[in-house]
Amino acid sequence: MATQETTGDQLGRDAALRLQQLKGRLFEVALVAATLVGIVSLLALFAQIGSDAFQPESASATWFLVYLGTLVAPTAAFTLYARRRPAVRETNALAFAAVFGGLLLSAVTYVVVESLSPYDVFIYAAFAAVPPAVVVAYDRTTDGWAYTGPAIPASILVGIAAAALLYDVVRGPIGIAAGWIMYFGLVTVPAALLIGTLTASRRGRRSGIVVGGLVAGGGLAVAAASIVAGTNASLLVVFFSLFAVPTGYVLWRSVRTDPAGRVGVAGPFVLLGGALLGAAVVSQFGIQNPDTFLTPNLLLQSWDGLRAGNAGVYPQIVGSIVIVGFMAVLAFPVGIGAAVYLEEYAPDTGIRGRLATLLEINISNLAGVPSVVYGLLGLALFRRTLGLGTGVVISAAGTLGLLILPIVIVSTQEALRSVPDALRQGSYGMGASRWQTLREVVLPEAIPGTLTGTILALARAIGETAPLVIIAVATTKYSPPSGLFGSATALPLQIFAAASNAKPEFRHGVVPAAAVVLLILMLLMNATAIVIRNKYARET
Amino acid sequence: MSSESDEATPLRRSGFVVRKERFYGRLIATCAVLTIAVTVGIVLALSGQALSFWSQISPIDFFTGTNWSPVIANDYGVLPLVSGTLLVTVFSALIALPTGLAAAIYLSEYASDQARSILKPALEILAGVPTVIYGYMALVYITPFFKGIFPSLRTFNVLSASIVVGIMIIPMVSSISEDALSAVPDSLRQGGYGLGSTKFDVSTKIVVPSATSGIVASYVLAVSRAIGETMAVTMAMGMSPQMPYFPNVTQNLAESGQTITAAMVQIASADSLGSGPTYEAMFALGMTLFAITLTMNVLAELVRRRFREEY
Amino acid sequence: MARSHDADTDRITRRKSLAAIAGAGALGLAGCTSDGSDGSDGSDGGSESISGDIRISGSSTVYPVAQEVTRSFAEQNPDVDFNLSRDGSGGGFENVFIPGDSDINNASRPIADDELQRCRDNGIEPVEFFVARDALTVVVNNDADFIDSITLEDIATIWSPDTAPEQWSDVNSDWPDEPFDLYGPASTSGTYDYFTETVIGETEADQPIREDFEGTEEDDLIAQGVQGNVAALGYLPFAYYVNNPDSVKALSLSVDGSDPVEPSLEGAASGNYPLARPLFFYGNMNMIQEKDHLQTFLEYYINEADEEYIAENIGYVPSNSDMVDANLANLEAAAAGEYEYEPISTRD
Repeated sequence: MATQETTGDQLGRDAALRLQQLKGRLFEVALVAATLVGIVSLLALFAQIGSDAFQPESASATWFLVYLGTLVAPTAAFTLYARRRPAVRETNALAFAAVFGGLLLSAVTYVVVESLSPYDVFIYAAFAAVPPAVVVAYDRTTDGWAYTGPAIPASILVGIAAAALLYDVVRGPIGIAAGWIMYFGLVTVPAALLIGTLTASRRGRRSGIVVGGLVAGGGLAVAAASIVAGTNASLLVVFFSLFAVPTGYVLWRSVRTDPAGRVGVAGPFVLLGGALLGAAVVSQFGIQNPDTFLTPNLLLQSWDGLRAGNAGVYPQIVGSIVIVGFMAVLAFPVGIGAAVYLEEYAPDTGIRGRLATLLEINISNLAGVPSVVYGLLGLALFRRTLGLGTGVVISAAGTLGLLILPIVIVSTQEALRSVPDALRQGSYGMGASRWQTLREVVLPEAIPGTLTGTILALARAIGETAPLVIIAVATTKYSPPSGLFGSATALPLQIFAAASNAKPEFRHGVVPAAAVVLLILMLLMNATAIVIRNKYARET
Repeated sequence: MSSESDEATPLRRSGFVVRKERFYGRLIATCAVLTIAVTVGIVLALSGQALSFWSQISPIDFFTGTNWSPVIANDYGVLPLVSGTLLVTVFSALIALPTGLAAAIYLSEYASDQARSILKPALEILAGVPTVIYGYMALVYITPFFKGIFPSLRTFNVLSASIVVGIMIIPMVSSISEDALSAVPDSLRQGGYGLGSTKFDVSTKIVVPSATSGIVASYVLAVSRAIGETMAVTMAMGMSPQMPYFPNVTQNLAESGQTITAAMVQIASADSLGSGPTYEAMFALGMTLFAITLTMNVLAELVRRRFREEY
Repeated sequence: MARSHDADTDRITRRKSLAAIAGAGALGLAGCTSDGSDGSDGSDGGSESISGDIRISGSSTVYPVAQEVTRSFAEQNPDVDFNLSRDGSGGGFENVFIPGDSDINNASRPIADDELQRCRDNGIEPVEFFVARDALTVVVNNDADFIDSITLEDIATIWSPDTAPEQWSDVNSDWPDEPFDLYGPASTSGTYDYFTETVIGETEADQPIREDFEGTEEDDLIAQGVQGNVAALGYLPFAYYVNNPDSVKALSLSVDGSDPVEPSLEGAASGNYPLARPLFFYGNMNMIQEKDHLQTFLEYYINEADEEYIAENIGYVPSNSDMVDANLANLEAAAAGEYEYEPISTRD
């Protein structure tokens, strides 16, 4: 009610109000500061380690100017231009993902398949792919078959078993073919099929066949050209199939379907082109490079404990990737299965309900068990009980897989919980069974959340050292692991060993450089998780 | 898939489909039960040699002894190691718990979408940095920095180790607490605003208390991780276990020490004899650590269920 | 019957995911069969390249030598797959060598009787090879002008638990009234074992060494500790000192009134430097008999052990020709299956 207020009352009220506002603002500032404290400290530490790794003080000013002109300025200009236009921004982001994702995928595929032997991989892949293809064809022609669902995984297993049995027979004859033919079969053929199918679904069968044929033909042409030129045919075939073709497809479609955002596709090429141009100028004019250990040597050579400039961690990088890859294959299915059980199948009450509660408590406890204890578990399980050798890839992958299993389960549970119940009920209402609902409705919705959590767990596992020390994984190897039962090696172990090298240039030069490589691997994985999460984010 | 239903009785599924369902159900249940197998495996893996150790060294001496010096003095008192672990855990929690909660409140109540989309991934990176690198950075960058301020700081000290462990566990607190805070229904907030509260009041007096169980869960997870941290403390804290200094608590920060986990790694990579009580001590320590984290998690789960709010 | 568009894309998604699963499984199982060498595109030169794998475990002190020797051998014989790990002498024996998983175990101390027995229980006879010597260096702060050399007896007095002096002046009145700040290898290190046995020797107290020193596995940190205090004293392997000569000051050592000997490799090789501990590696006799490439490598290793670079680049005292001959004789005996290890206590 409006009453007579004295000026004094009014001033008093305003003062109290302003005090509250001040308190609120201070609180908000304190919150922001707290949020930033960890991030800023870490950035400061990264800056230090990066500076030790790159040694920027040793580069001449001209070096900085060159790269400023060729790389930084054009990229910055392009980014500013793209920021204002949402269409351009989107195609730019897509182009970056395609280009760098393609480059990374090609590199990793080539390196891993090459270590495991392309012939072995091809044999197993071919044997594993034929039976399910037969099943799918049969399913198509007979208008649906009740047994298709379980038949496909079963046929894959049959194929792999057949490969194992017939390996010795087949290996000899297959070995006659050149390496690039294996890669052709492994990557070019699936790429052609994929692109062909995508085109067919959009523009009809004939276009699909034509495009698929073009891709296959292109692969052959690349191989032929590189054989003539004497370069590495396998590598180029892989880059063609996993980088050039997908990137070309994605970019071509962007350009065709989004005329406004067409310019965006140039983004990654501005960056790459600028970097290459800068490198060319620097080497042409003999400008002083930074005296860094982060060189291609580090990435491509094997270890040398005496000559810091010669030391490389290629086997360890491949080893870490291989271990993490197997670890994901082991932990992902079991983790998803357990989470699905706990969220979808387990009742809330009764004996089963109490069992489910017990399982959940157990899992949250396992998430907190120290990594050293998992190392001891791995030692007992894989060494003593299963009798595998010391420090083999599968022991390392298994031990680390057990380590991240609880994390995968918990993040999958969270993802499943976030799927609205209405979707499930709708599916049941249409007569679908529980498994069908899971397969068609719930899991597809939950996969992005699961993937995010798993990739973050993988990023953490790639840096784990203690369990590997306990299961006696080799610190130094001069070649990457050759298979599941071959001996493993990992990047963090070599870093840890190099930190006690007597020579200072190792402790203060090679170690930060290798640490930066490990950090980049981790950041790449984190970035992938973020991209997936952003792409599939649901409006809640 | 519609062809799977039986024509005669349209609402009943064919026998095969039912069996398929059950098979898938069992397969999935097996995955879940596997997790119990992991715990059982851990207990089995540790108990054999742990029990053998405790048959040679009296458990009383182990749990109450104040000197951990297995090779020099044949002393197996675990208290210095427990004290080392406790010091690191407490100091890193002092760093991480308030910071993480503050970050969670900011992200869930105050931050704009754009800010959140940058800060959340940034915090996740904190958790992903390999612990070897944290240890290296603690030793090579943080310790010299603090030595410049406090010259009496030893090369190996609890402070640097606690700082990196604290940074490492901030994301655990912040992301789980943020989920808990976001799950508080908006109606509670709106009710508070409707009564004339400020944002500060609503956040601190309504939202945070409602999300207590989730926040406590995040604290427990973070503290468990701090207890189990190995490489960072091994590299930054040294290998000289000692009992804490009491009246002057902050002096402990400047001294070195050894945690349970660091002692385990030291035994695993030792030049000394690989068998006998020195080696088996590693399993006894693992068992102790496992028991500690198990107790903490069970207690926390009980607390969580007791205080959980149903919306 | 009209199949909806969704069914088609569903098929595609399923096929894609199946392909992915098959791919992952194929990669996994492909690993089961590991070829030593492919012999695929591109042939090598005609020299006979040996192939096989060699696993080396054990001491982190001997690791730098093993690292360099395996690296140069692998360069010339790329089909030999090496695996080196740093498990510690004891950890290497326990976890890797005795169960038969490694061909060679490096050790900075002789194999213990207990370990020997367990090897034999497992049907493994360890073949001893001497590789080099590690000269222990006693170091002080660069600014510690009051001391340039020290006697072994004084060192024993400083470190022994029986005497455990508080200050420098307690031992020698010429030295300052500063309390000792001691740094050294941790008790789990072989360097520590050698120091306590050789320098301190028998003690009346229950423990072999005084307890108030800062022990660490990292030589770098011993040096850092000594750098931080003028009154600090430490000991560390010479290999560290020779690579970081400006970080600390090394003392000359004398025994029983003899002339102080500077810590240098010539001094250690001449036999006059009192603190030079022997480093070994042990081979698995069964593996030596079975694997030809292992024999070739061991011959190479033994011959490399008296090369200059062991001293100049790594910092250990190389073998001399007598030791090389003795090692080669052991290797021959092992290859013929006739070697038997004699514990040090039974040797003369």
